Amino acid sequence: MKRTEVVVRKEIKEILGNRGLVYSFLGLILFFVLLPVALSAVIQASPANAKSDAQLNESIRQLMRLIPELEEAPDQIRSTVLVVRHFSIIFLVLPVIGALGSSTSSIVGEKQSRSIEPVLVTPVTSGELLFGKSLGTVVMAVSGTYLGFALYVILIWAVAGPEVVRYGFDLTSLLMVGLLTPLIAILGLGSGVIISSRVKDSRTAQQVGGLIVLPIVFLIAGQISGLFLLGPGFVLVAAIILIVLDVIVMRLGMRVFDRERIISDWR
Amino acid sequence: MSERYIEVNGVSKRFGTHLAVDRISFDVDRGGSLALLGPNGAGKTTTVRMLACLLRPSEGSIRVFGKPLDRESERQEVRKRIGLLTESPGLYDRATAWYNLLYFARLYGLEHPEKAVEKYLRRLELWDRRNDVTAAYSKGMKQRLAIARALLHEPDIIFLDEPTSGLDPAAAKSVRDFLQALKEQGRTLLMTTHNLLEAERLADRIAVVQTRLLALDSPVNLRRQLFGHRIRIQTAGVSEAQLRQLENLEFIRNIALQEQTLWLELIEPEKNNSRVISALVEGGVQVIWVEEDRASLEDIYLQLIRDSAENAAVPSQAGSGLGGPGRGPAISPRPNEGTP
Repeated sequence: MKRTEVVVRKEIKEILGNRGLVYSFLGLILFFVLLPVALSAVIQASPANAKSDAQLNESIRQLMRLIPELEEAPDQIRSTVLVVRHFSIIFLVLPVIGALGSSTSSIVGEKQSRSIEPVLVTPVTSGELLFGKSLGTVVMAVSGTYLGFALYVILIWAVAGPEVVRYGFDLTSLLMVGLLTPLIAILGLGSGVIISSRVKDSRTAQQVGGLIVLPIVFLIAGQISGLFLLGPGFVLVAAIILIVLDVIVMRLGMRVFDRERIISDWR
Repeated sequence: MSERYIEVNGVSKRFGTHLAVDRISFDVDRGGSLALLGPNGAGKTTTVRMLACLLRPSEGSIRVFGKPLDRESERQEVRKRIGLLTESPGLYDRATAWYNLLYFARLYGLEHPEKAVEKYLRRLELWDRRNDVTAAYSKGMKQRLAIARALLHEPDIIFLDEPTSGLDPAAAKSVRDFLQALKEQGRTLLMTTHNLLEAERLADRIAVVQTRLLALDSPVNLRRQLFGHRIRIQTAGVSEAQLRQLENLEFIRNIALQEQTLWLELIEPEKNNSRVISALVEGGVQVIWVEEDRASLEDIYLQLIRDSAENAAVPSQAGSGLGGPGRGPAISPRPNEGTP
């Protein structure tokens, strides 16, 4: 077994063994899934709600420019598709929280239990160790998000029917969740590594790291307020920006993850 | 000729403006054992961390197994052949003892990791508790598990940082017995400790450090160099005139009298012990018993640390023998020594 694989397996085992971390992540996934599903169910149950708001109508007009096929659809479908698309973007918060939570708990945990020093005495290289920890963390955060999103699609299909699923989860939504999730998870992880090296407890690390969520919150607010509606072009530009940020953050993470720095600088 | 496993030449380590280790030099041969003795903050752990390839020296050079530790590839090779017992056991508390060891056996790339884990769990008497999470372990059990982890890959050199620190006497004895067995197997040991008896029992040589190297030698030689040979003679009483007679004997270097006990520091004691006794008896002193007055390691250690504080500005004679001047203190009864 290669050393990176050994570290990945151990990280996944550690994360799954951390009940607090697992339950809080699962709880968040369920909240993100059930909230829009409940909203969609309400719209389906009472069609009058679907066209009672001027701002909603403006958003629906934007939506129809993006998906002309919806011109012919009833208001109920249009409103539910809008809700479904608005809430898809919320899933981008999950990989940040998942990766940040597990990386800070892993690294700060190792600092607190002083288990990192014996590991650094072994022939594992700093790169193997960081890569192994990262992969374990990213795999958990991404798989959690994908599973949550899959559950979201299934429940929407069950509540609102196949037409909403067809228009609500179009190329933009799939690209956004499929492509941006791992990139955002890497950003959350890299930030977690850097922040964890400078703080004493994982709660502080997560609070500081939580700032990464802010741009996503801005996107959610912008879309819900009708300021813009995200399309595939936006997702591709966001992916390029994230790749650049990921490279920068992981390089900084590699610098922080040097044996000498871990032993002498980490607090 | 014995193979040199550790060579430390003029090594210093600085963290920012703080000088943790100052130009220390020593070496350890294959199968040898050295104890680094010193107060808290003396640079012992930093020295071990440099030897274990965790920190790089700011100055000087280190060779382990004859390899310089300058390049990462050389450090990687050395890491495969060393084991470190860290000051804190550093276990994964949520994992079982079995998994804690298996993880490291795999990191070391052992061909049969499970066999190595079983071997050391049995040797350290933890086999029956292998499936318990280590959070449930006592301090002594955690320390034994950490020792097992340091030995899984059969390292040629074992670094032990405060191996019995914080353990109760029974747990400390069990760890010491195990380390003694390792020493008898011919493993090379380098340990840091505050426990002077432990250092004396487990190490062939002792290096007293306080940022710099104050002394380096075997416990026997340290005693001889620092305190000379002393004998203690219990008498029925010594008069002023009898004492003056003794002071005239050329082979007596120092003399002290406390009540009815004489402390004498002799030149060539093996030759002159009998002459002293003869002189005493001929002078009319009634000798009740005679014994060699061995300085304890604690005396040596405290004397060196005291001298170091007094002579902080004087550079050390690193590498061999005693560093700094002021040896041969005025002879006096030591604390805790009463007449029987």
